[in-house]
Amino acid sequence: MPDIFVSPPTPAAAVSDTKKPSAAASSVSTSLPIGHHPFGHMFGTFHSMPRGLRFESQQEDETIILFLRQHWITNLPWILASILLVIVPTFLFPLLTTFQILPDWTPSGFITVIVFGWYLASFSYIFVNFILWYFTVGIVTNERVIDIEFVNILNKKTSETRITKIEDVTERTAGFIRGVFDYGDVYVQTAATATEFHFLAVPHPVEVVKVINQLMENVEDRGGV
Amino acid sequence: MPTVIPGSFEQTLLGLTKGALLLLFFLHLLFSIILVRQTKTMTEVIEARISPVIFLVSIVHLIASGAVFLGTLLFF
Repeated sequence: MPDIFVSPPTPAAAVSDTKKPSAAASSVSTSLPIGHHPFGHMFGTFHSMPRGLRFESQQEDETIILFLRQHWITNLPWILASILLVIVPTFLFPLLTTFQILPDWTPSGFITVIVFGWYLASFSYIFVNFILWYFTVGIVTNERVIDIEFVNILNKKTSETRITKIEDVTERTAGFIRGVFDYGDVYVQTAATATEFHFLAVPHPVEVVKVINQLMENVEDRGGV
Repeated sequence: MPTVIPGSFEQTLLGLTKGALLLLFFLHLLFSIILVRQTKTMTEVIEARISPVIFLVSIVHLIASGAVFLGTLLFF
């Protein structure tokens, strides 16, 4: 079967420090640029054959084919809120002093403490939202599909299934914003009852479905090994 | 109307404010400790090249939280 996607040649220097992909992995690639950043594009949301990325349960002969995060546009609400949080004190506290809203006996250090506390809380908000987005990932390897989800700072959920157990892969892109920015949800149905993986709001969902389907075909061609 | 001794109301209000702020900053300090621990777990789950930097940021966040708590305790 001809390859649907063919990876562009990569500079020898860029791959010299990395392990060569397995035969199964090298037969699956995407039409999108592959490993196009030497650091695997640290804040990227769609990595095909990423370099410099590993996950906890990755085996020696296992190659990451797709590494997905939610599209960056999904971060917009908390980014806008963060900008507001940073800007507000620059207007609020001068107003408090100008209009003498605070009583005269307020200690001079009070405003300082409040400003420090405000920015500390703001930074916590930004940092928590960032790491929740950064570490909530979907991974497609030459052997498995893995969904690592951090619902909140104390709640982690990991699901994985082997490619051989996948029965159906579907994608759903609904809405104007999703259409414009080309992101959507990918659902992976496994043979087990009621077990479904979902990669929510990932970029290029059609591409993700194609890659997983191609991996499934490769496995079938090899006799389901 | 009860008689208010001049200065005592302000003293009480300031004391309560300081206590509330200290409690909030102490809770934030605990949150920062949990955040460092969880960030360490996260960076072990996904090993990216930026992971050590993210862990370092969580440490800086913890130090800042401790500094604000101590600053409030000592200087406010």
